[in-house]
Amino acid sequence: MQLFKNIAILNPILMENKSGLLTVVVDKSVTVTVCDGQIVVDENKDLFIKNIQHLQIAEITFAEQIIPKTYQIFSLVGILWEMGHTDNNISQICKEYLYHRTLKKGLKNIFYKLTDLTNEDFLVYLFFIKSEIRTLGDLIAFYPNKDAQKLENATYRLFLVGELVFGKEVAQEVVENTTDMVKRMLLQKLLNKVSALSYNK
Amino acid sequence: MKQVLKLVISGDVGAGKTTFVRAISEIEPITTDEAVTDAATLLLKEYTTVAMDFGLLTVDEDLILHIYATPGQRRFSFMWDVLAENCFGLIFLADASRMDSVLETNDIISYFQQHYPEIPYIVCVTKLDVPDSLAFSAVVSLLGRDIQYLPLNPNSPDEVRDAAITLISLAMN
Repeated sequence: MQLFKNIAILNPILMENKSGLLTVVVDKSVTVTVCDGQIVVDENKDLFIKNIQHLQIAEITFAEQIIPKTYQIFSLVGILWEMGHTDNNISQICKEYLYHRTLKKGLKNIFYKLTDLTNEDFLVYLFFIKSEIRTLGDLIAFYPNKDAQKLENATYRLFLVGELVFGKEVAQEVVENTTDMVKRMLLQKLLNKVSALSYNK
Repeated sequence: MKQVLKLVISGDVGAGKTTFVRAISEIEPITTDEAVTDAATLLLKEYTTVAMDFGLLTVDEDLILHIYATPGQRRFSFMWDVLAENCFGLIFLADASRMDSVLETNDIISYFQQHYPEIPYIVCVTKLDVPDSLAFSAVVSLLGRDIQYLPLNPNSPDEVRDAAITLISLAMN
């Protein structure tokens, strides 16, 4: 019966994209934040995952409340948390980020060391996560020792999975506030191009 | 500044979205399944289940087409909103070889219909050649909407082109 009760609580949270605080009690209580049906990774993540799989859950409750959207930090917090177990220096960055959501100036050198060790995705993520006004050009200028094409590909990839809201380099160019006539003209150009593809493929 | 038209391909996992994007894109699609190394592997652990694709087609020096394939999983539905913004049209792929996939596609279509009623869309039915697949008419009947349906083999560039032409023509009207 407990299993059915647990499912009855969890299912609407996930299916209806609810937000709030989810508490699971096994030996001890652990609470995680849920945002639009997704569990936000934080310092309770490991214990929560352990508890939620436990067959002897004593209690599970969900208190619905408004949670600010945190998609933008979901993965970053996740990786910082994981990395926090592997290296003392990186752990410092993790704690700063987890608890203050900032990367302080004092950690700058460690951060630069970190950039030498990681591939483009992480660098791109860190660069854009705190700013919505930075552009792809800014990114490439900021990492002159990295391959510009790889940085660009990583940027598109991260944009695709919705991790970034930078949008200035890509989204602003998207045809939006234009007249029907202009839009129709652009679509006609596209139609001509696509129609010719059969000769190329 | 170049202008961008956005085309979004959606549907359940395995319906042929990547193949569709590949057929029309001038670059090898950037996918989220790419293997990575080092610390970023942890970051990308999630991406491997997202299975999204991105392709490009240069129309001329002033206009470019971005082709996005969405994740099908409902828990990534927040991405549907990101991708649907300012897109000129949607193509849904329904996998006829799997009833559950058709039903999932039906749910995805409902989501977009409800949230983006202004965006024109068509439905392409794939994998009709797989043994024991649903018939084209059966999929149309299951989805039950008065819209344009096309049978589609995503491995055929000509069929993909025709599907794109159908959608663009619809968007122009």
